[in-house]
Parts: sequence; structure tokens; C-alpha cells
Amino acid sequence: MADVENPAPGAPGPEAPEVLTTPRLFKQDKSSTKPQKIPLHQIYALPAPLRTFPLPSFYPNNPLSLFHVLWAWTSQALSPPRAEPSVIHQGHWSPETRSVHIRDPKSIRALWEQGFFGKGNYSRSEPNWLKREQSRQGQGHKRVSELLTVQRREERKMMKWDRARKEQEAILKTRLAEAWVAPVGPKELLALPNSLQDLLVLPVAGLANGHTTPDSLSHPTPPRAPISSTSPGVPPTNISTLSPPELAVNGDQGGETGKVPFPSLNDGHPFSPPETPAMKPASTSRDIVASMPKRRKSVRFSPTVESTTFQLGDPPSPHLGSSTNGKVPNGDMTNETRPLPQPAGAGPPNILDVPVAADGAAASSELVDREHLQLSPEEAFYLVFGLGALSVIDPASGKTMAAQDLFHLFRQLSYFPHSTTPLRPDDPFLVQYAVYHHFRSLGWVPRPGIKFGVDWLLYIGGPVFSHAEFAIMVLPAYTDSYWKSQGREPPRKSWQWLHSISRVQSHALKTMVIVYVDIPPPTQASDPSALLKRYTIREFIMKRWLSNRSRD
Amino acid sequence: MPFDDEDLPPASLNTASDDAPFDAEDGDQAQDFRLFTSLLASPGKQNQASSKAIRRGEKDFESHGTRAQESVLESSRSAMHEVLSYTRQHQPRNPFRGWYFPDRWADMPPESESTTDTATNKQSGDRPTKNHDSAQGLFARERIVALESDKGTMLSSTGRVITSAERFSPGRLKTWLLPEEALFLIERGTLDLWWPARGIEEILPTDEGQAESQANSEKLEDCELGVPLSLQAAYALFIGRDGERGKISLEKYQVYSNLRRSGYRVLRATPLPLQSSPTRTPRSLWQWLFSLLQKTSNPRYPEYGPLVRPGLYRSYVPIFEQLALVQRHKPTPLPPSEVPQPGDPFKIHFHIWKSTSSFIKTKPPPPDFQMAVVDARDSGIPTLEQLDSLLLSTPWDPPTNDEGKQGAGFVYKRLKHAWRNAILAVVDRGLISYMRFGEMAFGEELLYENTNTRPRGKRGGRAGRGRGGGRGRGRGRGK
Repeated sequence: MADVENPAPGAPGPEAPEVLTTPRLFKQDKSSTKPQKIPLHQIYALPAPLRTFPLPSFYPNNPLSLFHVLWAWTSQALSPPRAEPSVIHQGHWSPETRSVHIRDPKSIRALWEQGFFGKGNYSRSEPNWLKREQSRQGQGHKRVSELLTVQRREERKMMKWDRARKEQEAILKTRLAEAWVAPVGPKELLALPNSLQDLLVLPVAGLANGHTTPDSLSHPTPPRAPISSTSPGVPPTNISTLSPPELAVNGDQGGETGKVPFPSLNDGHPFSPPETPAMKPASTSRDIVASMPKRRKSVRFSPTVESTTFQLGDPPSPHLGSSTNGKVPNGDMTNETRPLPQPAGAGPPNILDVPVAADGAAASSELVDREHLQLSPEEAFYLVFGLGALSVIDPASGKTMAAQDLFHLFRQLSYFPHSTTPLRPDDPFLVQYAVYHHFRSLGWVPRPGIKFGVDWLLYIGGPVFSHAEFAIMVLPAYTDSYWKSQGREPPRKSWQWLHSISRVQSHALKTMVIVYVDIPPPTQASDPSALLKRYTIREFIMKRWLSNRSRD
Repeated sequence: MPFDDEDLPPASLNTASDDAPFDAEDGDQAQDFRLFTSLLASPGKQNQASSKAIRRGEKDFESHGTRAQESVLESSRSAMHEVLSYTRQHQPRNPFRGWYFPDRWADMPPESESTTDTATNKQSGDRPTKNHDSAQGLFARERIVALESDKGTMLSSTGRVITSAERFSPGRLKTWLLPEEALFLIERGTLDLWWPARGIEEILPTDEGQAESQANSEKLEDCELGVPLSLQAAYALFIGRDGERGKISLEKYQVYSNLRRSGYRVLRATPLPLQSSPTRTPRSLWQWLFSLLQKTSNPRYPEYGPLVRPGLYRSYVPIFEQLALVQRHKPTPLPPSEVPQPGDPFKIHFHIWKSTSSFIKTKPPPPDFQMAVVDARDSGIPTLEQLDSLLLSTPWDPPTNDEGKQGAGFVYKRLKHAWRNAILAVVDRGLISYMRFGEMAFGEELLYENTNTRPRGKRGGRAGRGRGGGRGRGRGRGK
């Protein structure tokens, strides 16, 4: 789970590969690959890795359906299908990562599609590393959620950048409108050009008192490098240059000549990310600087995006911001799923239109799926103990681990620091597993919620269908008289702790649920059935109450 | 910000979570002073900052040196100046004078605290007498400020007339205030608090003795009766520790005044009838037999083995039924009689009514909200027992029965409504954070039983909630 999750609420839920959210994609999809589109609810039809054999329904007004029922029943009675679970998947206990690895691709797909167990070790949640690699190398148009997320982020970045550009243009426009003063004095009137020819010849359109003439406004000078900014006596010409290209050029030039009033963030390097102080087009010219207040922060932009790869010397573009934001641009290929560097001038990146790379065909033949599915201890134990659809192999002995061994191992490992003291009824694994089992047995899909600062996220149906609605925080409770006599108290949590979690949840549009696990007193019984039956789960919703919204 | 896509979500497809976007926003917004000026603007005076200038949703994070921006800023500034320079005056027409008599009702019986008392009362069916009913919520022992007159709209939800004393005792039939009510009225500028220099008989003559005292009071000047008290004195007199008679803790007063200023009606909590008569529908013989059958067929769980026995299954219901192992919570309308009384920080302190509901202070309707006040530094988050007993002391309020609606939105809605609700006001040195806690029961929603809860066809469950857009701009809060 090395991927850096964007906590902004605009980003989709990280576990939810929302396929097809933008209408544009929809269209594209219809036109190009219409035949193989299987609805999601068919792919993910089974809520558990067990099959059922429902009898066909009998319609009283259609007597023939009775025969259908009878036929189905007799055929199942005569040649019964294999008892479910018919497939017992093989998992390998990995002591280093403390997870259970599934390596068989069929099992990986089955466990993911039938109940959303585990995560791909190279993927965010759905194990789709192979698909991602294939689409990266140009083999077919595969829609992978991670790539879609990247694309959506790109689009959003472009949109924001465009918005910022329009804002800046509007500001510049008002500034120019305000700077214009009708020429009334004799000197100004004399300085007016006599003809269009004069205007072209005139090197400098501005006037000494800091005002620009209407002509200079209506006829923007062609873009050029603002050498004028270095000489103080020259009137501000760039105030009249409306064309955006020069704005960017101005900024860069200003930075290089060291005339920027604010030092850029990366020391010595003239280019700063778009968020850093810039707005150099205006600040380079002295006269306007004098009339304008100092600013801390501004946006610098360029009207077109030339390429998606960047040299350090390239002019800034909206893509630079995120890639230099503490990350090596192409550093983590496995999780970040950034598209490969493309030839310069390819335009804004569109993952779906990635041209087939020249060496794509050569590389494709040797592409092997190197991804495995990793199950957390709770998931693995639920599959073994609850459903019986998994058997875990101990790598040391090569034999299948029995459920009690697995149970003991997981409980033992949940202590930190690792200890060999006798197991307590409130060890972390048991508490978390009780919650996991509780929600699974009700039909929810719990998935780890570490990215949201909670213990579990609850999906209704699964992460491909909808965002998680509930975020679960697990707390132990000691209400039994045994614990009272022992003086055992639950860990005291501050209100600040609770508020910080709840703030994150409300920002991510999740409902926070506090789950208390009532810990029973210790017993002799050590089998999970007898133990888990004694735990009680209590859920409490917790939500901020806004007094000015609930009044009427 | 022409592309600001943080617009209101369209009439949401997801009925359950239509209040969620509001929750994400902050409750406390900066005041737009131009709104106030439009209120203050008198018709004769020309008001330059009109409310027409208000355009919401745009916010400049930096000055960009245009005169347009400066003028907008200047108009807003001058509006604020205008509002703040408004002279507050105490209206001379209704002088509200209150007298501080802390020990007048000290020997009254304290308010009965037990909830089960009234619950059993109601339950047994005999209607409490009218006298008892009106004494409910009187808190006579705590009332320490007597008002000379009882006119004014402020008193529609403040103060109570004490009628229960014997006939000719002084102070009877006067409006008496609780410390938080008195302090709030003083802060608001509605009440003058006076310290009595004479006995209560002379200051507040009873009706019957009015004739003879008429002559007396005529010659007694104000200065002879007592002295006016300052706001600081009022704070010193009324703010105390929890449990002190005639005082209120600072946290509770802060919550009280915050709610009153926001327009709520707030009264001290009285024990509520917890629920109407227990609605235990008699089960038919068939149901009983059926439940017997289910009991006996309840599987013994294999110790280590898979809970789901290998076999042929016609549907997922028996599979999930075999998985039910951990005990689920089933909310019940009647709390067991041995419910522990909620301990002090985590118990209902205030009952709150919305401003719209009609209100009679002697017989208030069932409250809209119930609130407990806790100090953020003195207490941690509640334990299970504390939270449970707090919620058990609030009325049973199950989600509305929309039987048969099995969509995910309905499931969310029912679960989020919760079966009992209480609000905790967490006060951290004057800053109040309100949190709603509700008793949920996921065990009441067996998702596996209906296949419709699984969203089908519609992908990306929260589409159309305005989620996709550029909220990442962060509204400039931290900048």
C-alpha cells in the first residue's frame, strides 16, 4: 500500500474503482469496444465464494414452469453438484508480510469477484497489475481503475489550471481598464501618434507618468522578451501586452534575471512549481509594482501544454506541480501508474488514446502476471473458519495449517511487542475479527480503512458498486463484572482524537460509526466458535451536529 | 472563480445522504456584515452598502491590485464599521428588574431525578395529577432571581411562576429565573439585576398585602431597596461548580447561551416519559411454533471447522444464517428496569426545541433534541456503559418504518436515523462542538436477505452529488 492517496474529497474513494463516470468515456467506450461489456453486477454476482443452486421459480399461470422446476430438481437430485464450497483456494502464509498470499490467478479473480477479499500487492485494491501493464504497453484498450483515476486527476488539474488562467485574465483586464486614463494634458495629447504608421514605428507606447495610452491598449505590441524590465526608466510596456504567451515568458525571464522580488522556493533554481510565488509578469515592471501591494502567492501559467514530460528547464505547466511535489516523477512505477514518458508534443495525456509504443509488441510477449493477492489475517481467517473456502499452507512445513493453528498464530502475532504470554480475550486480532465477522455475516463488505484513519470501511455490495458509506472505529469495552473486579478500563481516548477522525470522515463524506466490542471474561475454551459467541458488538453513529442547520 | 463547481448538489439521488454535503462544510461561517447593514438601514439614510451587492460564492484570497477589488473590500469594510458602530441601547420602555434572592426557595424539595419514576407512572396508566405535571421542570429550589414584572416576549421560554408555595408567602406568583436564564438576560441587556437591601416582603409585596404596603413602597426609593449589580457580579453570583444550588457551571452556561443566541428554546432537562406503553404485539400460535422450530434448528457451531457446512444451497440466506456467530445488538423499546442512572458528565442536561415549534413553557412538547454537556479536558470519549445509559435515558425513536424499501439508500437512511439519539456538547474552554450520538443496530438490517440492496447498473454510487469537482481548492481556509 505504498500509493499516495489524495485525501481531497473530490478524488474518488480509493477502494472504489468507479468505472465510467465521465460521459465522454462512455461514448468512447461504446464506439470502440462495444461487444465485451459485461455488467458489473454479473461479474460480481456472488456475495461469497460459494455458489447456490436456486430452483427456477414456479408461475401458477404457466403450468410449463412446473416442469422446469421438476426437471431442475430431479437433475440436481440425480447428479448433485459438488458440495459447496466446491473450490478450496490455496493460500500461502507469508510470515514476513503477515498476510496470506494467493498466487493462482484463478483464485485471485475468484476471491476478488466473490466477496472482494484481499488486495493485489501491486494494485490499490483490485488485482489488475497485468491489465495495467498491458494497457501501458499499448496492448488493447483496457480500462483499469487506477489509470482512470490518473486521468481524472489530470483532467481536474487541467480544469483548475484553466480556471486560474481565466481568473488571471479577468484580473488583468480590469487592471488595464482601470489603468486607462483619457489623455487630457498638452504633453499627452502631443505624444499621441498621428497615424497608424506612427504607431508601428513608435517603440514605446506608454507615457512617463505611468499611464498607458488607449492606442497601446488597442494595439498590443507583439510578444518580445521584456528587456525593459531591467531598465528603470522605460515605461511599462508589458502592461499592454495582453497575449498570454508573453506572460509566461515574462515570468521566466524575470526569474532568470534575478529581478523577482520574492525568492523562488527551490534555491538557486529559477523555476518554481505553479503554487509558489510568481505572478512575475506584473511584478517585473517597476511602476506597477509600486502601485500594487506586495503579494505572497500567485499562479503562473502558460496557455498551452507542450508535453507531458518535463525537463527541469522546461517552462512551468500545470503538470509540474504534482510531479515535483515531493515525488520523483517516474519513481514508483508499480503503484502510481503514471503513464510512461511520451514523446514531446503529444498533447495532453489521454490514457485511452495512448499510441502504441514502438517497442510495445516486443515487450508484450514476455509479460507475466507477477501480482499476487494478499489477504489480511482477518480476511484469511474468515475464509478458513467461516466459509471454509481457503486453506493456508505453512511455508516452513509445506503443509496445510489447521484452523486452530491459524487462529493461535494470528492472535499471537497481533500483540506488539511480540510476547508469548497467554492470550487474552481482548487481543487485537480477536477484537478486530469479531467486528469483521459481525459485518460479513450481515452481508456487508468490510475492507481495511487505514487510508481514512479508521479500522474498517463498510461497503454495501462491494467497492465496485458504490462508495463506502460507513467508517468503522473499533473500541474495546469492559462491562463485565470480571473486568470491574480487575479494575480493567478501556484505553482513554481524548475528544481531540475523536474529532480528528470525525473531521476526516465528514470530509470524505462517510458516516462515522463507533463500534464497541464488549469483551467477555476469560474462559477455558479456546476454539473460535465458543469464544466469538461471547462477544457483543454495539454500534453507535457519531456525527457533528450543526446548530445553525438544525434550527428549523 | 467562474468554474467553481462547488455548487449545491442536485436533488440527490441518494435519499439517505442528502444532508451529508452540509456536514462537510463548517458550521460557523464568517458573518457577512453587509447583510446586517441592510437590516439596520433606515429608509431615510442612504445606505451605500446595499444587500444587492452581495454575491456569494466568490472569495478572493489575495489582493490583485485592482480598484474594483479594493472598492468591494472597502464597501464590505464600511458595512462592518457601520454595523459595529451601531449604538446598543437598553430600551427604556420595559425596565426589567430582577432581585437576587438566593435562599428564598432553598427549602423546596429538589427536582426528582429518576427517570424510571415517571416511566412507571406513565406506564401504569394513571395520569399524573395536574399539579405534579406543572411541577415538572419547575426547579423551584434553583430559582434565585425574582422578576418584578412578567411582560415581554423573552419570557415565553424563560422563567417560571412559582405557584406551589403557600398562599400569602412573598415571592409567590412572581416569575423566578434560573441562574442561566438570569445571566443570559443580563448579558442580553434585557434584565437589571439588583441586590436587595431589604427583605423580600418589602421588595416584592404580595397581592393581598399590597394595600398596606402600598404606602410603604411609595416612600421607599430605589436606592433604599437595594443596589444594581454589574455583569461581573452576576457572573460571580451565578457561575459555580456542578451541583451547587442556585449556580450553573460555566460550560453549561456557555452551551445554554450559545443555543439561546442561535434561536433555540432551551430548558433544563426533566425526566421524560421514555416511551409509550410497551407495544408487544401478541404472537400468534403459528409464529410461536415457528420460532420454536427455528430455535431447535439453530445449528451447533463446529468448533474450528467452517461455520458453513459443505452442502448444496438453494440461496444465500442459510449460508449467512450459519455465519451469525457474534452477538448482535437488538434495540428494545423498554429499557430493563435495572438500567443504571447515567452518571454525571454523560447525562441529559438540556432539552432543546426548535424555534418553529409552538411552545408553552409550563407544558413543553416533547423536545426536539436532548443534550449532555461535557468538558473536553476533564473527560474522554464515553465508555460503552456511559454511552449506553445516556442513550437509554432518551426516548425510543426508531427509524420510520418504510417496510419493503430495500434500496441501499433506504438501508443507509434507517441506520443513520438510529434508534435513540442524544447530542453531546463538548466544551473546550468556551469552544463548543456538538456531536450527535445514536444507537445503531446493524443487526436489524440483514443485507443478505434482499438482493436489491446491491446497487445495480448505476455505477459510482455517489454520482450526481457534486463530488467529482474541484473541491480540492480547499476554499482557501488554510492559506
